[in-house]
Amino acid sequence: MQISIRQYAQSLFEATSDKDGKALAAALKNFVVILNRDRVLNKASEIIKCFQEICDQATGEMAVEVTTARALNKSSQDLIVNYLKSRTDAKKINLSSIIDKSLIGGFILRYDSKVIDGSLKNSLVTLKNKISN
Amino acid sequence: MSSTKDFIVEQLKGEIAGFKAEISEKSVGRVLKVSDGIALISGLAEAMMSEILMFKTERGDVAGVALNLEENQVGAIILGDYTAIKEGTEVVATKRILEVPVGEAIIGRVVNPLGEPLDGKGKIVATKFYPIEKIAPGVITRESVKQPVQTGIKAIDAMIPIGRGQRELIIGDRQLGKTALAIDTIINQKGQNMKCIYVAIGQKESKIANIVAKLTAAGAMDYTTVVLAGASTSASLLYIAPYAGCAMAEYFLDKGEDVLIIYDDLSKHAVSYREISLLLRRPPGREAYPGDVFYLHSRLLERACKLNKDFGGGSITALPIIETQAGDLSAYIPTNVISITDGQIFLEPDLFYKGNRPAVNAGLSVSRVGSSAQIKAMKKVAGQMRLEAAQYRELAAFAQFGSDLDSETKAKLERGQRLYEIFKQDQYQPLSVEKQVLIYYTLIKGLMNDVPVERVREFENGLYKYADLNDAAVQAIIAKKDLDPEVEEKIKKLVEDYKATLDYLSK
Repeated sequence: MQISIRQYAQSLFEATSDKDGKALAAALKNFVVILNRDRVLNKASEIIKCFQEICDQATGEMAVEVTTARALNKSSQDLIVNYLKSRTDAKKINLSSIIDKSLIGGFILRYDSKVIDGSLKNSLVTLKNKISN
Repeated sequence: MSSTKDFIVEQLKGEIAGFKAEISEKSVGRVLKVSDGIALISGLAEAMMSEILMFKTERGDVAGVALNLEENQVGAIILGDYTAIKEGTEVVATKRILEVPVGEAIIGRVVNPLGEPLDGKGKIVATKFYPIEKIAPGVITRESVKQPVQTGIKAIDAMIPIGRGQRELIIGDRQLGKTALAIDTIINQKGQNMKCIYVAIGQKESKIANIVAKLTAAGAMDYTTVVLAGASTSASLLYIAPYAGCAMAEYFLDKGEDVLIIYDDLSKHAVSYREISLLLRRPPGREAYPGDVFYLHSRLLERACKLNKDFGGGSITALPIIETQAGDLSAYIPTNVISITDGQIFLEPDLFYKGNRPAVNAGLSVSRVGSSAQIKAMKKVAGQMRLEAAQYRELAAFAQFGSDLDSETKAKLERGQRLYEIFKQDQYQPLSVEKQVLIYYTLIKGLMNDVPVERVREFENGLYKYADLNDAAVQAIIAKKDLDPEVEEKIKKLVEDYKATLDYLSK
């Protein structure tokens, strides 16, 4: 039976979640040995990515990318964080912000595989489509 | 003038003032790989099967359809220009299953499988959309086939009758007149209360242009829609074409109307599905077709049906076409479709090159349900005629040895030759059922025995013209739909009167 990337990541997470120090190192080493035995070492980077997702989910962390036309001040950031906390079951939100002047105004939030597009640019495009139809 | 301008300005102003961009959460993904009309997409965690996906390219949005839902990625076919899609292009899920515009607006139009016009007659304003994939009507909603579809082709209406709601396969090699049969059938539906949909899958566009011109000239475009996925279209559009055509037919079915749909042809459809499947890395099976190629056609043809009164009483009659290679009926796709349909019309090269056109092989062609749909008059003449045709085929093979034959055998051979002359029919010349009854009756009652074989067609055409002028007999058949002694008497009189006008018979 073929073991999927998610299954590897899940088992790594379960094997390491309650360990630290030497036990953790030993578990990691064993995991690498298993990957080598199964000849899936080339998929290590995908497994790490998946492991990160599982970790985030378990600890309630969520990575969020905010794109805005101008730099956000602290209160707006808090507003976004609180909004996302109310919307999802994340406990901690890691904001990373990108400045893109072409948005004109508003913001775009990206998290998981979701997008909330509240930019002025998007509204203008929608308005254009509505009028031209 | 200025008041209308003001009105438009006011309206636009109101619209802009009242405009509020809806901000909603959207499921997105990114293209991992794109090739040959196929894209692999990461993300899109909530994508549905056959959901429309929008690729946000620099040159505008391109639509796609999710076909493979896997653990870490989604496989999609692209319905449009895929050259603008790059690795990393954003893909948005629309939460809509693929659907096509349906309604009266599409009648008389040539559209692509997405319902967009190709005939330059302007936009199609459709109020309703139907999903292209739908589960076929269940057993409770159906009833048995009982009304005829008059194809207008003598050999078919008599020997291989088709009923409304039936699925009858037209099968044969290339260039034997499969499409011609289908087009003649469409032309003959004029005034028969039937909507027609012609789905061209992978056909040359010049051929379709010809067909549309012929249909227009015959006045058949008033009730016909052509769904065109030409030879230059991508495999993804070829793949959805028959389902889109069927969705358009289902609109009329739901209104309780009768629809005739022609899939020309399903072998090219199977080939395009094979292409998509192989590109999506589904495992190949026999002839490299994927495992679900049977389901591909069975779910399509099962949507042809005759609904009972409680469900509107509409019907969809399907005439799928399959092109064989060198008459090989035992290839994968032909056997599949033969087993799905309720019979097949088999066209044979030998007959075609001998000049028997349409080249319908009466022995191999069958109709499993249609005979219950024939009108009584036709049933009466067709029964005896089928017998004579079979006897003739048997004797003709035997008589080739050229020995002396007894008079009874000779008479049978003579009549068989005349019968095969009658089966001959020119393209775009469908014949009404009353006239078919008339000519068959003339034959089986021996009224044609003194007509020389080489003059049978001339005799036949003359008889139709004569019947048009003196239409008592034909009107009697139309009124009674049966052959009682009174009607028979009228037919006999008509034929005798006609024969009296022919100088080559007077000797």
